[in-house]
Amino acid sequence: MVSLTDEQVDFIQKEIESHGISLPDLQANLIDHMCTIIENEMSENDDFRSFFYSILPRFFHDNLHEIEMETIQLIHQQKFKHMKKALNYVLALSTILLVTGVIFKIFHLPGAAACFVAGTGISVLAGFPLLLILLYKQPISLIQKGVDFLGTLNVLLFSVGCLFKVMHWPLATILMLSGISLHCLVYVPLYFYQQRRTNLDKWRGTLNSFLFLLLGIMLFMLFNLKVQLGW
Amino acid sequence: MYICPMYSSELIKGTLRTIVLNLLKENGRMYGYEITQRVKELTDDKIQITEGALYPLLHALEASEDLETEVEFIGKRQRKYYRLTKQGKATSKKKIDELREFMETLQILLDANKGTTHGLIN
Repeated sequence: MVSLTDEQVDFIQKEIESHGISLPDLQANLIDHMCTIIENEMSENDDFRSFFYSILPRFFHDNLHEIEMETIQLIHQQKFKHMKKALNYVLALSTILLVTGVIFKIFHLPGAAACFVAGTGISVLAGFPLLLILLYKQPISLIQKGVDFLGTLNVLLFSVGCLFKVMHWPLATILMLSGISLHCLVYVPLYFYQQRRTNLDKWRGTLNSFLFLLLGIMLFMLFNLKVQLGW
Repeated sequence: MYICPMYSSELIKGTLRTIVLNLLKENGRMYGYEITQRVKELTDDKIQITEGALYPLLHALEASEDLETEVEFIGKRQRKYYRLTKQGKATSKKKIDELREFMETLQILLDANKGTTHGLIN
């Protein structure tokens, strides 16, 4: 069994760095692993550098950097798992508060307004940022991300508008109308385009687009613009 | 993911986590090279874990707090020993039980097919 010198360990470290491994913990693991292989498998007569380059391909398919990519991906998956769990809790809590608010409102019980504000506040302040981060990190196309982001924004605008309406706060109509207008004029065309381009079942994409547009128009028809905006 | 001289990688894909957790449960603390050698030894070289699959998994298990590490210096270089945390012990038990149950179910399925085939022949 050979024993490696400090210079040889430094050489391995430089090689690992030059192959794109930048995470210190991963570097330390790979250095130790390569050193242990060399110490156990290299004979006294072998040339250190030649032996090192001969064992290097054991660590990858195309290049060494793929270990780091895989490590980062797995760690992120772990983080996303926690984020998805947190998002589920936030949305569940928000739903419970909103439903409670509706029940209290119907029966004229006190606390309805507080439930509405808390329910919407939680989803806007905690749920929306979490959702955006998860959407951003999804391995999907840019256009798909855009469609998802816009859909989320529309729902956010409309639900905040609804809250303002229930609470008789100003700007409620503007917020609700912005959500619906964005939905009809930007989201639906973009969704339609994205579905036609990527979805193999084009008929379903067209049907969904039509239903989304119909929903937007129906919501829009609920407004009396003459009264609410003074037109 | 694996270099498997005997088995196709598809066949054992998804079991690496359980293999590593079980080894650490049995052996207390281990370092990367030791894990790869132990697997080779126990399976008579039928399963060989590649370093490209092992280290991402060890780092992910550490990030999820299933594993904790101890660092020892060997001359200039660091050696990281991995050991199960309390949470890791529970995860390990869950994963091993799940795999055992899956193997039993698979066995039933294979035997059932064998029975059906015999039935058809008879």
